[in-house]
Formats: sequence, C-alpha cells, structure tokens
Amino acid sequence: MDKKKKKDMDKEKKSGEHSSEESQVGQGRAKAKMEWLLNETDNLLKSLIMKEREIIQTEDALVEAMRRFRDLFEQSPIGVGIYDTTGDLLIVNKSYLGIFGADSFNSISDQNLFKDLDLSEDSMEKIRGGHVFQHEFEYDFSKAGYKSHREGVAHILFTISPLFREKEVIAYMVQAQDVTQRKQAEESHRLAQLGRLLSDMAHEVNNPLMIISGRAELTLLEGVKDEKIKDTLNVILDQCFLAKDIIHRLLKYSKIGKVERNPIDMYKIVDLITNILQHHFQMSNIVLEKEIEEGLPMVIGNEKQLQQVFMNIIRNSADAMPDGGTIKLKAFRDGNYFRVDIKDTGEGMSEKVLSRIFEPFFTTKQKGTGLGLAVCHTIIQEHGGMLRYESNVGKGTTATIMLPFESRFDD
Amino acid sequence: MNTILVIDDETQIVEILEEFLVSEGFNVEKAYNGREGLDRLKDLHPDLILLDEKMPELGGTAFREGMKHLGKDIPVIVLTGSIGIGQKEEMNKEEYGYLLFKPVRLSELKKLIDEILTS
Repeated sequence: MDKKKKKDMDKEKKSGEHSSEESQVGQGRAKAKMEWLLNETDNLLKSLIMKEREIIQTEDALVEAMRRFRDLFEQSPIGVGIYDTTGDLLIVNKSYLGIFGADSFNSISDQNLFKDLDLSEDSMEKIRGGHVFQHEFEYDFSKAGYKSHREGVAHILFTISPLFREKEVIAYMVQAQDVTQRKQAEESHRLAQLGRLLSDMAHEVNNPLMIISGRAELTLLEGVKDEKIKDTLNVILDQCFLAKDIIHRLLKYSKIGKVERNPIDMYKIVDLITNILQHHFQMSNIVLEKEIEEGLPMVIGNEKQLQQVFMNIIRNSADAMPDGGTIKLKAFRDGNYFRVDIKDTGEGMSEKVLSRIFEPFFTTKQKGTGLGLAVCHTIIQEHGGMLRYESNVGKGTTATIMLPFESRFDD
Repeated sequence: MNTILVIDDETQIVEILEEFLVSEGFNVEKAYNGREGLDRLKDLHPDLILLDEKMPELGGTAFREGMKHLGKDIPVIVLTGSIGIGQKEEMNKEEYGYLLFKPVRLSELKKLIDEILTS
C-alpha cells in the first residue's frame, strides 16, 4: 500500500467517523418519519377498510331495501301493473299475472291501458290529467290472445293512478282486483232483499186486484145487457189477471235460488228443447241448426229452470228474425264449463239496448213483460254460470251460456 | 144446501165471495181472522172452508193447526196473495190443502168447489 493510498484511507476513515455522528441524528429522524408514515398509512388503511365496510353495509342495506321493495311488489296480494304514458305495459307482479291467468309477462305484454279498456274520452282525459280512476270490466278468458289458466269471464276492477316525477306523469300504476265473487255475493244479497220486498208487495197488490176482478166478474154474472159495458168489464178482468201474471213472474224471479238441484246431463236438456223448438219453428221460416257435444260431465242444477232458460233464449233469437233466418246452436266443453253459443242472423241490438237486456221490465217487444232475460240471467248466475250477449246491429246476436261442471260447483 | 165458511180479513173480499156463493146456491158463514174462524167451528160443521193465508191474530196456517186440534176434518181451499207463488208444483197438498192465488176467477173457484164437494 503506498502512502497516498493510506492517507486517503485514513481521510475516509476520519470522514466516516464524522458522518456516523451526523447519520445517527438523521437516522432517528428518518425512523420517526417512517414510523409516522407507517402509522399514517395504517390509519389510512384502517379508515379505508372502515369506509369500505361502511360502503358494503350501505350497499347491503340498499340491496336489502331494493329486495324488500321488489318482494313487496312481487308478492303483493294485489295485482300491480305499471304502464308507460302511451299505455303500454312495462312491468307486472305475480298477482297481476294470476288475475289474467298468464304464465309470464310476455303473454300479456301487448296489453294497452288505453286501447284495451275501451274508456270514454272523458275518462282518458281524467287519467292523463293525473286523477285516480276506477274502471270495472268483464274479461273473457276464451278470447285472450294467450293461453290463460283461467276460464269463463271474470269481473276485474282496475284502479289507475298516475306516477309523478317532478310534477310530471311518467307512468301509470294499475291495481288490478278480481271482484267476480264479490259481484256474485252482492247479486245474491240483492235478490234476497228483492224477494222479501216482492213477497210483501204481492200480498198488498193481489188483494185489491181480487176486489176489482171479483166485482167485475160478479157484475158480468148478474147479466149485463149493454155490450159496451160488458166489453169494459172484460177488459178490467183481463188486465187484472195480466197484472197477477206479472207479479207471479216477479215472485218466481225472486225465488229462483230456492229450488232443488240435481246432477243434470245438459245434452238431454238442450236436445229436448231444440227438438221442441225445431218443430215449432217450421211454420215461421226459421232454421235451427244444432251441434251438441255428447258425453260431457254433469252440471248441478234445476232441470226445469235450465229448460226455461234455453227455451227463452232460443225463442228470443227467433223473435229477432221476424222474416225468418238461421239460428246456429253449438254446445261444447270449454274448460270446466258446459258452453252453449246461440247465434242468430236477426236485427241485432244497439249498445244501449245491449247494456239493459238483463234489467227486469226492460223490453223491446210490444207484448213482452221484460222479465224473460232477467229471469234467465239470474237462473244462470244462481247456477254459478254466466250468460252473455254480443250483438251487431243488422248482423245478428250471439248468446253465450256457460255452466260449470259438477266438480267445480260449490254451493 | 152446502155450507161454506169464508175466512178473510179483507171485508170486501168476504162480501164478494159471499155474494157469489149465495148466488150459486150455497149457505155462507163468515169470519174475519183465524181465531174467529176457530170459534165458529165450535158450533158449525161447514162442508168447505175458503181460507185466506195472511191474516192478523191468527193466520191460515195456524187456523189449520187449530182445526186439526179440534178434530175437524173439513176440506180447505187456501186463497193467498203471496206465499209460495211460483212453487205451486212443489207445494205439499196435505200441508196446504187446495191452493188458489188471488186474484182468482170466480168461475174457476166454482169449478174447484164443485169438484171437492162431489168427490
């Protein structure tokens, strides 16, 4: 080792000794800094973890809230459907699908709130204006454009309310309820009340009728020579007995529910009535074509009443064709129902007439009492069935009778 | 001469029936409710009774019960304005006897009376 090198080394050593003093201080600072940094990082991490936990919790709470709302919507016993402002269906819940007997949203996705409900312009205006609006309608499952689990006709009540965002209607919410059973219960209750009223009324009216007719008949029996007076007395007598007949029919109408019921082969009833009427129509240029499915299950009912219904309805069809025509009767199985379609080629009825045909005393015939269809309608309802009319002015009318088969009948 | 007991709370109806039946050669007795009717039966044995159903004090059904109690077996024609209308075919003849609905044609009533009295 030469001198210079050694000197340098010493120098280095010296400087090294000096720097180690300084570095001891520096190291302490760095360590503290490091510790602080570590601490900070740790705190930051901890708070990050905390924050993340909070976020996860918030997210969970959000998901839970969303799930709750979805469950509330999905599992609500009330059918709910949301329609957009043009009336197209956006989303529905299970109950809503159930009411329409639909498998999935796709089955009914072409429903349109405004087009399907056949609402008046006034009602549409109300809905668009944001008012809550109720609309009850009949829904025929056989005419649904999809395969419905349900059959027959149901009474459905829609409660339509607007959904707002910043004062603007962005969609419509529809609450759908099946009110078929309630309707039937109301009808039975109404009939029971009517029955009591009629029974009292019959007593009150028939006594004076007896006095009027009795006096008229006594006078006639005493011998009236004046022909005009004789005629008058006969008119009084006839009218008294016509009034009696109307009261009699009304009482029958109110007592429809209180009759004996047995299993009935509907084929026999429809066949019997159509045979009788075919014979009867020969004179009046009316052809009755029939197609009746045989071997179907029994219907629980009252034979006489059901005969009366078919007699009445087919006769009505014939009455609508004063110049003759064809009545096509088709009886067949429609789900759990025995269904009969009776189609005529008669004059048809206007909407206004159609909406009133089941009202007692409503008639368009000169000699009608207006009770025939009212009675038929009630009889069919009391059998748990349905009677419906469709008509086009000038083209004809179709009556549809549906009676449930035995297995479904619950009294 | 056959005797007919007419029981009805409506006096004008009783009058009409009386006038008619007398003109047809019957002897007519009258009562204006079921209780009066039963009183009359204590000293009277009519061949036939024309009975209203709905009456104050004692109605037609109760009258028939009372009649059974008295051991009287007399044919009865019930003249009613309300009960059971429309269910005629389901009426029990033993329970209701003969049944006619008001207003009734007097000629129809006469036919039924003759039928019962000759049988």
